[in-house]
Amino acid sequence: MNLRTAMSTKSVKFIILVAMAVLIATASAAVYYSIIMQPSVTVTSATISFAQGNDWPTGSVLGSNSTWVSLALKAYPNATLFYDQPLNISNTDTSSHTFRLRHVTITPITGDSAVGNFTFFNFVVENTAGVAQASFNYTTTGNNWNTPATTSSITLPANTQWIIYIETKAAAGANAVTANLQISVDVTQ
Amino acid sequence: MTYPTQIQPELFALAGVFLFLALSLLTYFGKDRFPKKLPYIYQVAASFGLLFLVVSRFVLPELEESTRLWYCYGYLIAVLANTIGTNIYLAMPKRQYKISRKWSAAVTFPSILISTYFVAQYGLTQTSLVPSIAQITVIASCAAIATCAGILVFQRISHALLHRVHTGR
Repeated sequence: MNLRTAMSTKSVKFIILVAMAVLIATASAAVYYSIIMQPSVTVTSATISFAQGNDWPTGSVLGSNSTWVSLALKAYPNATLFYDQPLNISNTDTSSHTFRLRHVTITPITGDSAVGNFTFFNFVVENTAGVAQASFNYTTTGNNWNTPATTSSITLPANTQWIIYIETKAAAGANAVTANLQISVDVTQ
Repeated sequence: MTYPTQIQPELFALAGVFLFLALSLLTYFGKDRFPKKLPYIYQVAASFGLLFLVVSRFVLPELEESTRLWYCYGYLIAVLANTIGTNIYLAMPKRQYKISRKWSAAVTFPSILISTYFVAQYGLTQTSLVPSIAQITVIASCAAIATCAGILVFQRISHALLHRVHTGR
């Protein structure tokens, strides 16, 4: 039996036909699976956002889409300055979300002689009743910063706005220097 | 992690591929009733379906959904036309009415039913969109397929009734 005869036998033809069918079906299913498993990203407004408070500091900037904020705060030498309601954090979603405060950067860097001009910057998250939910306090020891640890997760209920209360203090006889802090608000969706 | 739940138009192409492959194997078994090369032609047709899927996924992934819908849906219509065509081929030139009826019940009607289901599901997922020409066409085609299925069922019932009248049973 030569190859031509062998190839023309019914069983070989059938096996080839079935093998081709299985191959095409498997490949098609795999390609379709890869199509439906492509990730899709939809742009939506942030469910947790910032809002200006009643005590909004002059010169502060609320970023577009309220997803970032730059506060211009003051610190008086040897006196504590309170900002009762400089900034609000708002949950516009119909379900609650958790968030936490996390330190990112601070300048002047620790060890710099300018650090000794400050005493503390304390950020306190308060609920609508004014009860503190978390405290995020930057203090100094000599020319070193004591940066706060990341707060535990705080649950912000649905359609609720909470307050970020701030108090600052500079050292007695402090020079006119500026500190820049970057704090991240990590939200769990 | 969330997964997309919306049916993609490529589902029609995938259904078409499976139907063409099923037709290929079925026509191979009924060799004496169909042209010898028909199973291989259907295999090639199924390969075209795979090609459509590959084009959608890898070559032109930026294509609009309406465009993808057109060619995938066209492919599904082609396979359904072939299914009905084989049915007619058995009934008319070959005059094998018994086999034609069985083919209608076992192959043509389920194929149309499954395709109608997919098209209806796809139509349902598109209700939130503004009605477009593509959407209207999908609904119209869905109605056409359902009508076709109805005709086939009617044909089958009427054949059975006529047979009873002729035989007096």
